[in-house]
Amino acid sequence: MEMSNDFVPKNTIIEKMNPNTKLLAIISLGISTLIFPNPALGLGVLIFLFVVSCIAKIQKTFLKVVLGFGIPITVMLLFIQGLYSPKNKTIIADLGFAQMGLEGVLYALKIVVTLLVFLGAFLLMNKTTHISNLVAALTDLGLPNKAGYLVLATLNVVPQMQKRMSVIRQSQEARGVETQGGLFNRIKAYIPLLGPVILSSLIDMQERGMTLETRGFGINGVRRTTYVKATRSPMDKPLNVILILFLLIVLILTLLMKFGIL
Amino acid sequence: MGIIKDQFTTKSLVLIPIAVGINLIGGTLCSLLKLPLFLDMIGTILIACLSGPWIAAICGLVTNIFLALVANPVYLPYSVVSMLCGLVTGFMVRSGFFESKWKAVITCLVCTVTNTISASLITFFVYGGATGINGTSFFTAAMIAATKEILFSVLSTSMLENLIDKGIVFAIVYSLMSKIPRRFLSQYSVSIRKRPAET
Repeated sequence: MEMSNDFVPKNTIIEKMNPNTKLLAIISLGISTLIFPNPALGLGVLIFLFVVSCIAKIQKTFLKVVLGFGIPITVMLLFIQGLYSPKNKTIIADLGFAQMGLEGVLYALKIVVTLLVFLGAFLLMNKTTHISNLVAALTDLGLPNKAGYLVLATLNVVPQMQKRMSVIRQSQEARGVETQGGLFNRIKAYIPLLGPVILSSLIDMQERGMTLETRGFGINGVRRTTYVKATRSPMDKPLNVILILFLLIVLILTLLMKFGIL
Repeated sequence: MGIIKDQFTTKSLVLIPIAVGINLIGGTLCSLLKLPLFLDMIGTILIACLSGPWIAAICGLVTNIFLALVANPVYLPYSVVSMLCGLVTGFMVRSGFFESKWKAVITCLVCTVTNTISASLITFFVYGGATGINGTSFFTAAMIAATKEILFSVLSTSMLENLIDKGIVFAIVYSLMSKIPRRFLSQYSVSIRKRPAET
């Protein structure tokens, strides 16, 4: 698993938007898909997200992730819900060992579409935003500094620890610890690899804590200056209004459909 | 509230990224050695022993946010699971259930049950039965085909894998706690009253 935030600047309009707008987009599009009673809206949103990914010039990654996640889960859920959901009444196909019901299939499609909208929107935000930019924007919204530190520090610490682990793995292999072979051998190798990483990281952390304390990290009630400023673009305000309106319209439509007016 | 606030010292805050790192490294190492487990909660349990329940809950949350950011947003709803496990373990440790091997086993079982129930509920209600991100989804599908009961199948698959997984995690944390230098442990004496017996 790749454990780094691989943000590549591409200088597109999407990149220059305020990260909070993108967050609002995830929430608005995602919740609309979630509450809307059938999967059609979600499909539309997915196509829209694909267009956005083309504007942001990341359509290849977008397709790869969405299809790579979407196809297996669609098959899995169609199998589970389509064949065995207790809600099934209308039978649309008979496979011999089980019958495929319309209600279960629709339910499965709805879940898949909702998940893919969330996944796609999240991916778009992640790939077009530098994490420090995102944290700066969230701090503007009132996220405590300490919480911002947590996210950023984690992103920095993890690659360091991975590097440390590969060094430890090489030295343990040089000492003769077997990391291949039978299951029992591999389980036995787990402890001598993980132990040193954890213990040395803990000692490292102690120094980190002292350094932060001497620089006034724990002082409360002072105004702090920031190094990174969140990006802003003239499109932010109109987009925010559109996103909120979209959510409201979907909400009203859903309610009307629920009460049988439409 | 005062008790919760007392846990948020700089020392504990700095510990969170490290614990998140340990969680992730544990998981990566597992896939590196091709073990059929997750072992991705070592950091959360360790921090529950060191700094207390609330810090452990935050550690669980940050782990899942990080996974969602760099790997797959599917992990985000499961942050509730990690948070609950952190809280439960933290409170158990605080009331002395980590002082001997047998008490640690009880904590481990309670944590497993918490994890199983919350994770299954999320898999069932958010994802409709399977997430498709690991091999156990296939096992769940097979169980459903055999028993025709979705919730029961999800629960039993997850119970089985969690029991083995959490057992190993707790064994590792227990042995680590007896190896961490006393000088280091004493900073966090708030949560653990007595260090487990030397082994």
